[in-house]
Amino acid sequence: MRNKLTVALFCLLLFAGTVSGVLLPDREYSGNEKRMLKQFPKFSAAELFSGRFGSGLETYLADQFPARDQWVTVSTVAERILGKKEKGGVYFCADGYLIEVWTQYEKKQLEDNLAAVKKLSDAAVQSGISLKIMPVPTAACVLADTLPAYAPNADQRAVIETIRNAGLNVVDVTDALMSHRDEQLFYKTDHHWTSVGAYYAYAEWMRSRGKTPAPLAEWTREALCNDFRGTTYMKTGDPFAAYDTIEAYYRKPAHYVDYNGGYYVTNTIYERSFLDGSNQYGVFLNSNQATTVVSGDGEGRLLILKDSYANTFAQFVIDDFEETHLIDMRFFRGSLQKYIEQNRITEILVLYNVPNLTSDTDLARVSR
Amino acid sequence: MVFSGLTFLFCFLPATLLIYFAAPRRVKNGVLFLMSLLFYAWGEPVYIVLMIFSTILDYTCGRLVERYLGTRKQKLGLILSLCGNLGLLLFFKYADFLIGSVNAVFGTQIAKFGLPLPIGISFYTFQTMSYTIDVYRGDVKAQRNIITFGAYVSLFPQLIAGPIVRYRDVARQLEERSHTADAFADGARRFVTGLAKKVLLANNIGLLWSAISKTPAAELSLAGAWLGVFAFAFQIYFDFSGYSDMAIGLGRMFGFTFPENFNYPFISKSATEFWRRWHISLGQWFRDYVYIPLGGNRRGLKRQLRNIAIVWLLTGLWHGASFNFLLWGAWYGLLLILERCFLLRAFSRLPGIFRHPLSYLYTFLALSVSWPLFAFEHVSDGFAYLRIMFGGCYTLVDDVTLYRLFSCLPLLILCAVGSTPLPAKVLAKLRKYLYEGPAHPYPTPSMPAPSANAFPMDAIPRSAGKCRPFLCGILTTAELGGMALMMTLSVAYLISGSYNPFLYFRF
Repeated sequence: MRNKLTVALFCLLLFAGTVSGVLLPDREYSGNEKRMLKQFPKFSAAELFSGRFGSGLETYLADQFPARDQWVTVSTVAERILGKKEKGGVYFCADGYLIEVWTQYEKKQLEDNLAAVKKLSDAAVQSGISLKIMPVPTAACVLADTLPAYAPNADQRAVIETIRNAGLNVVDVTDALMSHRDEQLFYKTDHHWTSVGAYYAYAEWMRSRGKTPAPLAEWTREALCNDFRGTTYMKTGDPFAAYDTIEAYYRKPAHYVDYNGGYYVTNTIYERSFLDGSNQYGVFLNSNQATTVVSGDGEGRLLILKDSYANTFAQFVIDDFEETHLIDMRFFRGSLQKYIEQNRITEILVLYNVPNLTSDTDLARVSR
Repeated sequence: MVFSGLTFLFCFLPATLLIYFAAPRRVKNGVLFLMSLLFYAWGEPVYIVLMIFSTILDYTCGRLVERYLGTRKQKLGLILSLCGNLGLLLFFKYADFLIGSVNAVFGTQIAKFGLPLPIGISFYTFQTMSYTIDVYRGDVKAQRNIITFGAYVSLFPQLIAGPIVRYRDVARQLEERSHTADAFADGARRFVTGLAKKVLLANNIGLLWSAISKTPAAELSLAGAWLGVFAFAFQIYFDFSGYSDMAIGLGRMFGFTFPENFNYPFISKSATEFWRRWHISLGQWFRDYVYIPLGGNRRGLKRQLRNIAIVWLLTGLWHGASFNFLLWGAWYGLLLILERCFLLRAFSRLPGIFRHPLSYLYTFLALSVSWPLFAFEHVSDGFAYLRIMFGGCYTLVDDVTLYRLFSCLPLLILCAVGSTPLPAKVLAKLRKYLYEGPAHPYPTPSMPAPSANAFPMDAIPRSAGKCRPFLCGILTTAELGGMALMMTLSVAYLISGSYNPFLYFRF
């Protein structure tokens, strides 16, 4: 009896996988993984003899296996039970935080980037424009105490020190963020900071300019969505991951916003169509654009050279200036010097998170 | 194709089982032959020619040897077979190594062939040679049916990673074998255990080893190096023995009984014992076809030590064509020679309370030294690693090592327990208790010892006595549940191996 049951179970498991795999239709796209799934490999003698058909078939079977997403979940759960502390370059941290692993960086790339920013800074000072740089420490630094015990973690404060030593005017927001650690400064399931985190950095920046920041309560708070699961969730596929809330803070709901030199003009910095898609953080300033200009009622024209961390930050500054320009060097082609002259920029802020400052390969073009 | 892949599990195996069991008895070997060729062709289609060549060569040589047995020409077939098989092996596995060595020594610039190694060539050439030699020695009759012989040579369960099945082990089964539900169930349990050992234990502990082995020697701590050695030893044991379990299990499903290949090597108390428990079929092959023909231990100590040295240098080289494997074999040769000369005797003279701990410690150190030699292709890397293990490092423990240790601790414990006979013994005791009641004051001989390195559940004797239906039912349910769990988890890990989300993550 025991043996007959064993035979039956084994064959059931084996053939159930095979038969359902054949009968169920193939999927083209995985919503969970945001990628096209492998289709049945092309069959020909050449493909077969090169071994490409064989390896293609293995990938096809894995991608198209019935209930693939659930199988992935099963393995993730098993890994968690077995005590695994990271997956896909993300640490499983205390309080449900999924934090990107960042253990080392290219010193050369950082030096190149800093040299370029220094050159830009010197040129700006000569034209009477002030330039500040804000290297934002990520969750791995600010929430380091939530990381697994002894987890490798590069020293972001040391990077900020290097930047200061390069002779740049640094706005160090580390302590400001650290002192508000018990508030939600970072998303639990995404590598970005929240609007609240960006606010404390804004306050620090205002103080560095000799101004008193208005309290956060002066802004209107709106929850844009509360089912956000971002990049670090996707990298782990952790079924136990929390859902984050994306919050907007604004003084007035409408602004004149111009993307890429009139290519797309709209009346709000919140591009709500992103909330239905998979890149919900893109709701801030239409994800990442080469150039963005937001008009406000303040004075002066601010230029932010930035990565995506600035997109939440911008909410707080746009009303303080006549114009806020945001340039993403990854997409901006052209001479920055000319742009600064043509738009009569009065102040520059370089805002990147620390890992990006050490790895971005487009930042070096700012001195052109 | 590999067993631990979705193509095998959900395409090849179901298809083969269906065709094999639907086919009438007399064409079953033909089905096995064809499916095995397909299995082999999957990875390296061109090399299927080698397999067919090897089949025809040894089939012919076997017939030749048998026909001329007792005459002056009897050696003809044997020499032809040895030259053919060793020639194949030399050309495809060792040519580049030899050329490299010649170039290094004489400063010549001979071009290498750069051919990919045909999968399993070390296994099947050894198998086919054993056949011709056994026919020559009169141990077996030559096989007349080339299909049957082809089925033996190409038999897919043990084709690419052993065990090395000698022809005489399966000669009768090739002609006449029974297919029972009991054997199939045994095979299925064994296969699933092997799959779990490979996919769940070996692959995961392998991640730890690959992380540590990639660390530059200057950044490695003493504790880190030792953690790495544990990880590598467990990886290679569960990988290799898992593969052997799958092979033996598949063999059982198709009615074959293959020899065991591993018998809890990590509980050995000497290097000599280790080699009786590790890759047993290879050890047997070298014993029967090299060591004993050279005179074994019957021609005096000097000859015996020479023979040990030859066998273990060859064993080292068999594992791969590079100097680190030669050195690895030499290390074991040295240990075995020392043990033969005095070490084992010295251990046996120690008082009881020291004997076991000391011999375990000695064996542990001996094995620990061997793994880095095996793992690093460049001998200098292996030595650098050994230096760190034995104190030539800057730090004793570093944070990375502690982090790795804590994240792998449950897995390491599973591996440690899984490589001892403990689980099998506990299950056997439990089963025995359920069948026969509380332990008898006097031992009863009704219970066979757990078979060598068998799946824990194999150790359970079938209906040894009165069973208590309810409790036995629970045990059987737990056992089936365990099997389903191992299979499900293995498949889940295989599927999620391609979990590869595309992210706009820097944006």
